Amino acid sequence: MSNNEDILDILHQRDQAQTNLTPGRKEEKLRLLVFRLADEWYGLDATQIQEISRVNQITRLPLTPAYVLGLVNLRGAITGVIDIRSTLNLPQAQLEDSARIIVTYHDALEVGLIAEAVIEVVETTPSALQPPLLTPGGESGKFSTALLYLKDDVPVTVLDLPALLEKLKV
Amino acid sequence: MSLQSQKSERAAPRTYLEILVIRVAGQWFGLRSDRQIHLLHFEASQLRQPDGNLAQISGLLGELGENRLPVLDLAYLLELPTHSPAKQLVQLTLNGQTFGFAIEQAQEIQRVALAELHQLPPLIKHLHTRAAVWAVWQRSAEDLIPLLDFNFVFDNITRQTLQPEQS
Repeated sequence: MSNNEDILDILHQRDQAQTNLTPGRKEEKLRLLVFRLADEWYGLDATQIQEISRVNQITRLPLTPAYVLGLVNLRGAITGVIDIRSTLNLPQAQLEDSARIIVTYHDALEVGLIAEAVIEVVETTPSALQPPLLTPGGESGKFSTALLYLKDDVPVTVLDLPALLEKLKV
Repeated sequence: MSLQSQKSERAAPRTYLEILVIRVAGQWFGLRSDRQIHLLHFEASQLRQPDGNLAQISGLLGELGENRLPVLDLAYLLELPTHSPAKQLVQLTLNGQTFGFAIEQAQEIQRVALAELHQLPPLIKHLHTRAAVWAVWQRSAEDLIPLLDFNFVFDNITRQTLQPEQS
């Protein structure tokens, strides 16, 4: 190795160390889809979402748990639709026009989750996330990875999709 | 048999299924009709009280005719709320057992291309408490017809009739 290469290597290592120490360095961005269930706002990592669809005709399936709403046809793809409100211990209200199916994808499983309304997509950073609230008797804390406060202090529970799907399987 | 004739036999697999579409609890379901299936009309007043082991079968409405055909309430078996009184029944024989399943209505038997059939999504398949639906027929853009597998019904019946009578 030449002297020049040694110097370049040292400079590169210094740069790297400097970047790691700089407080204002660029942090990884995180996009969350925020939606409403009951009177609470929830978030899902946007990378886990395939599409958002209106709630049209859902074909019921017999001999399935009540939280399985049925099947929908999304441009030829037959997708199961799940209502996670009971899993999160939330009250069941009639779905209105604002309701949407959030089609999620994780570990080769495609599942449609019912949302009473989709609010927005927010961009944040991991450092803005807080630990989830574990309230006594509250179910959402068990299935969340973090809590995010929006500008107007509205809390958004970031859901742990793998944990939710695992719970549904049991 | 020549190689050519073997090839031509292989080149012509069946590309369709015959499906009988029935209505139960206000919803359409499909049933493979390449089995021994008959459609009959009946009145509730024609049903007789069953006796013996059959009386234990849940969902049994009664027996019909001289052959004492056991008639079961399909809506009950599928745990669906009864929508309107059943006036027709599907008579089905499987594994040597013949039963009638009360339904609300039946449409004509239709040829359905295999390409129009879809498997259940994996999670939903996993969540079935009993495997009553084996596939879904996409009849139109929004019209999905769950195809029933009657094996689950017959399995249930066999289990119930084999149980010793409670004293």
